[in-house]
Amino acid sequence: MSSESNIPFSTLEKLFPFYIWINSNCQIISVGRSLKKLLPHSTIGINVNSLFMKERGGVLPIDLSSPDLEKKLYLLKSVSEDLTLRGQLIGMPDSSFFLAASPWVESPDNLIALDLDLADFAVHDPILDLLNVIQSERMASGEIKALVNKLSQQKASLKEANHSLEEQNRTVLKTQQELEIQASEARKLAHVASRTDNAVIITNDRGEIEWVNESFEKLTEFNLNEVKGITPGKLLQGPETDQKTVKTHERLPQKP
Amino acid sequence: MYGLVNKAVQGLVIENYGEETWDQIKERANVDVEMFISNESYKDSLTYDLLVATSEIVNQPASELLRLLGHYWINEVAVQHYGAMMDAGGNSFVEFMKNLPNFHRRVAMIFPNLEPPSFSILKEEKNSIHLIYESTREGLEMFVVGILEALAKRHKIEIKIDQCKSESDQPVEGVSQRLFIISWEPVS
Ligand code: HEM
Repeated sequence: MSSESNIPFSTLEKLFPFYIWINSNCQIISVGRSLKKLLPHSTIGINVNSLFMKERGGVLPIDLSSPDLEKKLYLLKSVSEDLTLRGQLIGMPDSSFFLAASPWVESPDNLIALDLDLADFAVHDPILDLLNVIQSERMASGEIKALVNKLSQQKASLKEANHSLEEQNRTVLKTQQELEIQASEARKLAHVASRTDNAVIITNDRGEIEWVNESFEKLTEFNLNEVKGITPGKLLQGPETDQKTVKTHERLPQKP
Repeated sequence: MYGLVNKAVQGLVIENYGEETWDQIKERANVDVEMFISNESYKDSLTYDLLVATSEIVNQPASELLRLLGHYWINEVAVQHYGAMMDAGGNSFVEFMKNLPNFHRRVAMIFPNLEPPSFSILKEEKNSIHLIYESTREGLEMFVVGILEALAKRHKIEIKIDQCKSESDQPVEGVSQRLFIISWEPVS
């Protein structure tokens, strides 16, 4: 035997705490410390093929005469536990076989279900890193979901804002229409006032003239510029004015 | 630092002071990020700015905030996102602490821009450990203290933490080193 093949078995054990060591009849010689926790029935002497069934795409039974035995990826599903081992078989110098395996875990929760902790794995085992990747993927997809939610919420509130803007727009339009109607009515009134044969005087709340119509100008021969700002009383009272009429006018409401 | 850290600051603030305060803090810190992405790397200064603004707005010393952030990190972030990994991390405080050095190393493998702190256990005694914390960052000791307190609580022990200035108090090649002596009462 060359010195390279003299790796002590205890070293292999440390590197593969889930190993299964079998003899040329597929009988178990020993199993790793971590696998022992998982397969209490994996007692020495039992045929390894009786412990596992075929996993999807897996190879079973373990056929030690198969020529490409060492090239196969073994997926072994436990018949009694919720556990799948993945690993590789290698021939040992004494014609026994060593299955270097690790549990296949698809999520960190599997670890808990199997009652395994990180110390049950060999430090080099990339399964742990795979778990980290899965963990971070999960976190990322959780965040994408949250973002999508947030976006839909924003969309909904934008829609709402849009809706109330539209509503406001409508009220503004309505007020505008109303204002237009009022303005046109005011124009009509103004038209009537300027065209009537009666003299019309419009005063402000202090009783001062703001506007007079044409009939007023014709009747009194004052034009608008001359009378603007004067109270009608002052303007229209002469010595012959009936004081009764003055009193009545004073009692009239001054505000429009 | 990775978004996960900033998200933790956000979570802590919102949980204790509400969304409005958080918006104020972001504004004060000049941080215009609608949502932090955990797996994205952000500038360290952003995290520090957020912490400083938080400290000013909620009127709490930064050291206390860091400590609370440590509690939040374990009780919320780690449990929520790494629950199973936390449970698998060891079934006692000391076990967990022994796994801790590898923990960040593994996280660093999948996050290329991660500059994780590194932890190592210098000495282990029956009721105490000497933990060395090394980081390229300054001023996060109270974050470590908070995390350790929360971890201990999770494992149902009460710890006392003494922070010692190590010999090389000055950063060596950009890395500063701190020694924590963590001790606890024997569990009966
Ligand atoms: C589930 C557990 C944990 C996860 C996922 C985690 C992950 C991280 C991440 C992503 C960072 C940011 C580093 C960067 O972006 O460069 C970080 C920083 C840090 N972590 Fe952890 N960590 C965990 C547990 C712990 C524990 C148990 C401690 C123990 C004391 C710890 C101590 C720290 C400290 C002190 C920092 C600040 C960065 C520094 O000091 O340089 N973490 N961690």
